[in-house]
Amino acid sequence: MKPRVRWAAAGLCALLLVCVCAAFRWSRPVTLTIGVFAGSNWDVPDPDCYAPYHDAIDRFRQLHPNVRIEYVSGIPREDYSEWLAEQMVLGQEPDLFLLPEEDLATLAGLGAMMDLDRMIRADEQVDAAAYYPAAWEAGQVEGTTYALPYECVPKMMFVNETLLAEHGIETPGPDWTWDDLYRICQAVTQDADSDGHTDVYGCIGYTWLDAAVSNGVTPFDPSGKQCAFDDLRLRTSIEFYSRLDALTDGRVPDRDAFRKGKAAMQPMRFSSYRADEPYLRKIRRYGGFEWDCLPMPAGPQGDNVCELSTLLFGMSARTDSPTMAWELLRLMTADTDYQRSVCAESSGLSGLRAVVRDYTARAQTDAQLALGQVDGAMEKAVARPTFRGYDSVKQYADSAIQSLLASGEDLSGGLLGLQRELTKMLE
Amino acid sequence: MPEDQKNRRLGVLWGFICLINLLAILFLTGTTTLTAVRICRAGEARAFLDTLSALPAAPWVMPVCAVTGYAALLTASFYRRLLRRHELGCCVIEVALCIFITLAMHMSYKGVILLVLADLLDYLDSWSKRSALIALMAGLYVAADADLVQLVWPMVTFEHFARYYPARQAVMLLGVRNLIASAAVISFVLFSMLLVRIQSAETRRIQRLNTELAQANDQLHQMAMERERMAETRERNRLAREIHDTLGHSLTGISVGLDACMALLSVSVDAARQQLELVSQVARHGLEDVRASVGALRADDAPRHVSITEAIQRLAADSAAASGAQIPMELALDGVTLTNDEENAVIRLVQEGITNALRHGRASRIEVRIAPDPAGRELALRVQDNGVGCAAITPNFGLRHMQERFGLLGGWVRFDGSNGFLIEAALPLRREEEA
Repeated sequence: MKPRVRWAAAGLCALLLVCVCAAFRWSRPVTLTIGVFAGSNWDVPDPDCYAPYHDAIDRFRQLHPNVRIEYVSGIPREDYSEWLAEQMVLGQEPDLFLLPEEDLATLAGLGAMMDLDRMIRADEQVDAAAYYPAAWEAGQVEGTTYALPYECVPKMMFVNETLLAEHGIETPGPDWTWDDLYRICQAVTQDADSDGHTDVYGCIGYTWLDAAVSNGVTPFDPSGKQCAFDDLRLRTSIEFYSRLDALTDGRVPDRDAFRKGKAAMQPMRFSSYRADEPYLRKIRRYGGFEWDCLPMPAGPQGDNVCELSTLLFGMSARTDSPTMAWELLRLMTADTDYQRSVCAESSGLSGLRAVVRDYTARAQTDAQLALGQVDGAMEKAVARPTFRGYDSVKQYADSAIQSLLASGEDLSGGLLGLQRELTKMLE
Repeated sequence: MPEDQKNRRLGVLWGFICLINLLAILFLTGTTTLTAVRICRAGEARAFLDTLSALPAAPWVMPVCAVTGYAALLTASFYRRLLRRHELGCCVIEVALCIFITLAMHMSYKGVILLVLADLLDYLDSWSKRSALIALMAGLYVAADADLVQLVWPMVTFEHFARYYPARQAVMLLGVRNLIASAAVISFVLFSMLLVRIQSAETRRIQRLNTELAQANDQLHQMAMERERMAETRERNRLAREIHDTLGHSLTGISVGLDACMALLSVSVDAARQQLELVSQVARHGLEDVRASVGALRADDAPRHVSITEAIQRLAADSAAASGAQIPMELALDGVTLTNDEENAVIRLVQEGITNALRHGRASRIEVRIAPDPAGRELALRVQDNGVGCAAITPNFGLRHMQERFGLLGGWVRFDGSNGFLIEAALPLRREEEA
């Protein structure tokens, strides 16, 4: 056989092999896998956690009868990040997966997440303007969208109305300020049994970060390249936090103090409110006292702003069927009807304005203050910064501020030092 | 060291390089795969991902790609050695496979580049192709630096997996990797050195052969010049012979004839006139002879106008007429094939014999006999006169020429001066098919 003929024969064989492989690949039915965890993302009981996924599968099957959707059940929320990471290391990650927001930056940084911008631009059904800004930004890393919000929860101030009434204080309005908070704490904090230790608290669990956000400053830039510890607004926030803290004897209060009626206020996720909603509808009582929730108090240079927690849904960059996966992702995160049912069944809220407004409008019958404020709070909320190592720098800053306050050193000098250290860390 | 032994050493070294590379690929891919599985079993995948800058491929991808690529590379190399054809195609395939393997191993190992370089260096024959290959592969080797490439193209390397282990184990793994890589580099250097030695030995051999060839050429040139000189001398001798034989013979005849004329003038003017006519005839024949000789000198093989028998008879008749001597002839030349040179030699011998007999021997009878011997191997010539002869023969110009002529044609000439003068000669006869 002539060499040219031999080469041609070899080429033909290779082409045939490729064709056979391609035919085999395309003849297989498309199977999408989704990664989900058992239970709620918001630390509240969720007995029927898989119901929304079954609902999505049913809806999707009506649109695409040939596509199979599979998921692995029984992965607890606390093991989910590890499970997802293992699947990625083994190259078996699902096509779509629930994504806790603290994992987004790492996975996007590794290139594990599909860049959704192109799909979003090509799809008229997904409109960034339909989402709360913070919810939309939660799925972005350095301006690129890698995930869409599946559920959102704002942080709100839970108020023990009974305790306030006992002290003759009126529940503040939704546009209340730090001064209101300080006044209430000052009035409520006391040593009731006169044992030398504080036993009734004004506000527990309020952090310097809560204060900063509501004073118009975010300590870390969303891209993770800069921080703002030399900002005067941040210093004011920390000073306010310190003043609040000074009202107590410095001992760490009981975590359940609010539930036990021993604290007038505590910032909590709105999901806690929603988890207790059925019960509240009837008696609006929680451990023997009436309560409600308010937006976070506004600082002198800020607004009633809180941090929004978001549970995301993302797509693997290595998915075999990006088109189908995108259809399913769109259904689960951008379909108003589906999001409405998720919002109704879970304790989180939707990232879509229309869904949240619909929900609050239907629930307004109880005339609860909280529900009226949710939309506004989410509108004003800020997203958690999405950069790799955010948790560790935040933790570092937190402990540095605690020790700075404990040492009684000059705050501005200390903060400048911290700014330098953190800038170095971020580099 | 003999050539085949060197080639065997090169082959052994090549096999060693292949083995080292296989070992490296198996070690690196095996460690990577097992580590990935181990990380997942230990529940440390999330922490592991935090140390990376890119998503690792599924654990089976690296070993499958690297081992398959390596097998394909060795097959291509073997196939090329077997065929020694499709030079460029095979080279391109090998270089492409080497890039594929290096990429598949995330540049954690670069020895495969050296392997392909060694393989193709051994194969390519021209220095320009070799230089291009070395430049290309050196570029690849430098560019395939995992640390540099990671700046623009994040990837998961062997180091990432090694760092998962406690420090001591990590150092051990990296150490083994470096050891194998060093072995690959050293074996490549040895291979190149051996290759260069073989190449330079080959170059030296070619240079030696070239020198020898030049010397032989020089000798050949000198010999050609020598031959030319010899031919020149031979030609000069022949010219001298021709002049002597033709002009000498005629002038002898003329002088003898004129002597006779002078003697006759006092006796009878008629007889003298007759004698002068004969002398004139001899002179004309001499002129014809000179013309024939000049023609023969121009082209040896030019056809003769008269047959050899006719020419000898005319010669004898002329001499007899001019001198008055008796010249009986016995010629048996029918069926004898002679070349022009041989005919010339025979004619000149007879001519010289008659001339000498008349000039020196003052003979009155000259017997000429020319006939092949009974076996038909030789043509025998005999010229006998009844002249004074001579006791001691000192070969003069004519006799020496006779000997030279016959010697050149493979024959011989003998003289005897005891009873008159005798010239005996023989020429080897060729068989009919040789002629």
